[in-house]
Amino acid sequence: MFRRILSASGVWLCLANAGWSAAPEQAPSPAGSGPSPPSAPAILPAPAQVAAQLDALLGDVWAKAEIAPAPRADDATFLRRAWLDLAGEIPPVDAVRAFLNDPEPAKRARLVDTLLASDEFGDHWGRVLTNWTIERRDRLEDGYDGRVLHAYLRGALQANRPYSTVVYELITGDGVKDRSGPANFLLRYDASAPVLAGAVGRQFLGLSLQCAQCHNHPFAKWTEDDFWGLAACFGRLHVLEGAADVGPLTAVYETRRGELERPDMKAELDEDGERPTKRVAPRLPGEKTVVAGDRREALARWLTSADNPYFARNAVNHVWSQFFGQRLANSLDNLDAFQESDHRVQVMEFLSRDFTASGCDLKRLLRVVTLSQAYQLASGSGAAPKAVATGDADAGAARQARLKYFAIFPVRPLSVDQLYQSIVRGTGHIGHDETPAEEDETDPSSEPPLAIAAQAVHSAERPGGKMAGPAAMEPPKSGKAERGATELNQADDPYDMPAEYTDWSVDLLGEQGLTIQRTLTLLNGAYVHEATQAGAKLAVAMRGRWRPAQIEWLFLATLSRQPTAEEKREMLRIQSEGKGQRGMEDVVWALLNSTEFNTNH
Amino acid sequence: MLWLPPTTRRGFLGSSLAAGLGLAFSPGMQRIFGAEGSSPTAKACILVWLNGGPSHIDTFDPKPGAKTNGPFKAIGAAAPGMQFCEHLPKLAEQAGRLALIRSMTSKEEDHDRAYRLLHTGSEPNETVDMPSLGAVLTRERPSDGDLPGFVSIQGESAGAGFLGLEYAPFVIDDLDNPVANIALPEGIDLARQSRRLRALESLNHGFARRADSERVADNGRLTAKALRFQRSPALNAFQLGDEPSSVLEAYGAVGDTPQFGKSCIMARRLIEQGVRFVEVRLDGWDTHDNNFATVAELLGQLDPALAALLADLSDRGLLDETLVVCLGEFGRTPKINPQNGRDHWAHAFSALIAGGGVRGGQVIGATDAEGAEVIDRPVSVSDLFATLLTAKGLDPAKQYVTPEGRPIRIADKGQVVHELFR
Repeated sequence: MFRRILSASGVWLCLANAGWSAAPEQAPSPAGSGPSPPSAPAILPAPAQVAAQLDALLGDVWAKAEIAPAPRADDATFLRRAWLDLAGEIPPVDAVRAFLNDPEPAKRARLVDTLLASDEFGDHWGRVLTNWTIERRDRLEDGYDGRVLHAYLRGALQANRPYSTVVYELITGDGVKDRSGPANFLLRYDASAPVLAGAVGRQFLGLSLQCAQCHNHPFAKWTEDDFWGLAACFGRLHVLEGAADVGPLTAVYETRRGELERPDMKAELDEDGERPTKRVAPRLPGEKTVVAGDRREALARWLTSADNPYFARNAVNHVWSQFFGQRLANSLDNLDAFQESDHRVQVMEFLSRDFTASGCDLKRLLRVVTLSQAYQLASGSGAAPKAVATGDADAGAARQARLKYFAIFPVRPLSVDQLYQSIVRGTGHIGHDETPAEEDETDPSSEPPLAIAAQAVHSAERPGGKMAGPAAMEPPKSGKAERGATELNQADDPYDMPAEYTDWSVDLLGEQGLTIQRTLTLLNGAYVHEATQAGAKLAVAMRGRWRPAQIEWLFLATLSRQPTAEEKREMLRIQSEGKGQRGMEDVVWALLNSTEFNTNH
Repeated sequence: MLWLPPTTRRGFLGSSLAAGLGLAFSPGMQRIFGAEGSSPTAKACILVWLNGGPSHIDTFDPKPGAKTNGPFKAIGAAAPGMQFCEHLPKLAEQAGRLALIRSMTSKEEDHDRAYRLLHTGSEPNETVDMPSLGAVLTRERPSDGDLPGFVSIQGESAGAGFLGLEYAPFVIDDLDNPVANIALPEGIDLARQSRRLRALESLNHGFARRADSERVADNGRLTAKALRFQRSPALNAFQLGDEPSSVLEAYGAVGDTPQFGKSCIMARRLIEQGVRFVEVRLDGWDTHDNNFATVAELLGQLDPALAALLADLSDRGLLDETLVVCLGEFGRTPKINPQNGRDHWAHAFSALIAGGGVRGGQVIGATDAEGAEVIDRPVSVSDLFATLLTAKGLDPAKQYVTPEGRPIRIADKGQVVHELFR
């Protein structure tokens, strides 16, 4: 069957090269607007079945490359991994216990379902999608409030609206920047036609369209005219700047007349040294005829069409890199380099096909990937510890080969958000004064913060719904308004953003990746220091004065597993050297600084 | 003290040793330096980044008499044929120490993209995340002290791209508190920290056995580096407190706008401690309106600081081994717009280069009478990068291999501007 997929992909490539717009016409929706409904697939195989097909595909690849995959990750490892990847944080202690004690064979699939239905999933993947769409963090910066787009995308994810519909809305939207996700998206690119054309190519097709702005694109068959024709679809967008005295009310709207003007590079400069411009008609890449009717709708329909292979490939590429730390293709530009024999291309085409067939069901794609064998492999080779510890060159080379073929799970540094949320989860320390509003309603203010934090960490997993405890226990998100996903569910205004900049994860841990500056922050920074103290207190609150029980609890809270006997002994020794609480703080410090804690593995 | 597995980290090049040896015998290098016997001497580099794109006509390429010139007069410099804007008197005195390229040219007039271009040598593209020059130099010539090899002051510079975070810049935002989280937290003494590190080592040892020893080793190296850094006497380089007031005044690090002067002093102090690449930033050159008042004000900061930096490096015997480069994203239009401003212009702009074996007192290339187009000796950004790599004793033709296995040259096919060195 894979032969068939590949030959189909070959057809796609040809189509793409010829401009795939030769594809069947889209039936316009009744009102002449709105996305074309994703073609309802007759019968879709269950995600688990698709995952099994992916396993078979990679199994063939491994056999051919003579690579033995790493063993299956144990339950604790899988639990932590799935939480970090789907919910953006480590699991609470009770969730760890419950999962490890659950005898149900299908518990991994059930966990994935639970996580995909959680508020944390909306927050985390909303952030992922924000970065993917606008190449920025979801924060208020330089007068642009990326949290608005995040709120919109979170809502779309929680409702599991088709990814194609979401993109369609982003492209065709209008309105006030701080009141509409789509307007916020368009204004991120200043509603500028050429800038948006480049962004659409880059963010939604994975193509460097913007290169065709000045010259014909060397790889894909984009011409300069294709680029400008596409840009002209945004040619009637205008920005309305709100007067300063009525507050920031920047809006984007479309006029009914007017055409995009582009610099005419062939014309001579005029007397003032200005370059004359020429008009550009809206045209979809590869098409000869000018777009009739609503041009942004036409563009959005073309972009998200099931016949546009780049749209699904790009989504699959992003999703894959989110889980495996490497893209399937670094860019989709270079079609000539698409080797059908390359396992990465095979995976991309296979997943793209299912994604398209499902009507761009993002949650389904995440399910398929997380249920696959590749995602559930251990990050250790399973070789005798001695051979690994000596780190001989052969072991290193074998690991590289396995990584290349997705035959071992990669160890990846946590993102700043994952790291912050996980420290909060593990120690109960949020690092700022914010008091969740709900707390006052549910509880007298006499409630000591520690107990609240303890409850947060302790909160039990509830199947099929929210996992964190009461809303008060929600760890703070990088925007205050985002804290209460419950607020969103209660149909409060999703765009009601606090007026001030809030980005606690970056504020407390720094913007840099895992550099010397981040390392210093973890070693000596005030926030981690406080979290260390909070974590030690929490261990006492949760497990009383019996030190071994505290150690065990701290391991579950930070590393989502039981300590080994050796670790328990060693940590108790360290603790006793430091005397009492201070000794336990030292243990917490070591846990938070450990590579096991600050990576996803 | 930290546990590191005895594994060797795999380099980006299959055979970095061979590449390193090959460097010395590269035919290109021999052609350039072999005959003259002079060789590039730069060990370090200071990039003075004029953020926003400075008007070349109002700084290093004045056009007295032309209607595009604006109100500034040109003044002679201490080198034949060299004229500067009248607001650069101190730098004009240092002209014998610097070379001026007036024929820089590119096609990139978008800020972000031109910023990337001038920092990495390549047009930004989706396919490869190119490393900045600072990252490349730091990788090729690791710092020999306790400080990071690459420091960027008051600007983020550009990252290490595919070379990896190990070579990313150490970014200093706040000049008065340049290095955060150096002091141990309250109540933690060295004995307690060492106990904590023992606990950490024990945990990491176990994780390395179970999961990924290479990742643990990477983290271990980073921790070791951070600890060395935090305890190093070289940290004093970040503190300007012991600089005499005469130095502060010379750099213009006094008054209302002392930041840029302070940045330049800090750059010199860091270079003295073995830092390989320092970027300092002077912001505000995007003068779409009110160009002349703004530029005059900025030159009031640039002139003393850059002139003092050159003189100071020279006095301390550091100029020969320190390449100093000053430029921005692009130039600005000869045409003065209705807001009395100038807009983006990449057709022609200037770059100032000093130290590191560069022969000072020379002008390379020229623009036309209005400062619009390059009419002599065009120098592309690739050419500039080939030149800067060469000045650091590196082979511009060296190929790097990205993690995806794609071979890449930093300076593409750029040609070295030979005359700089002779």
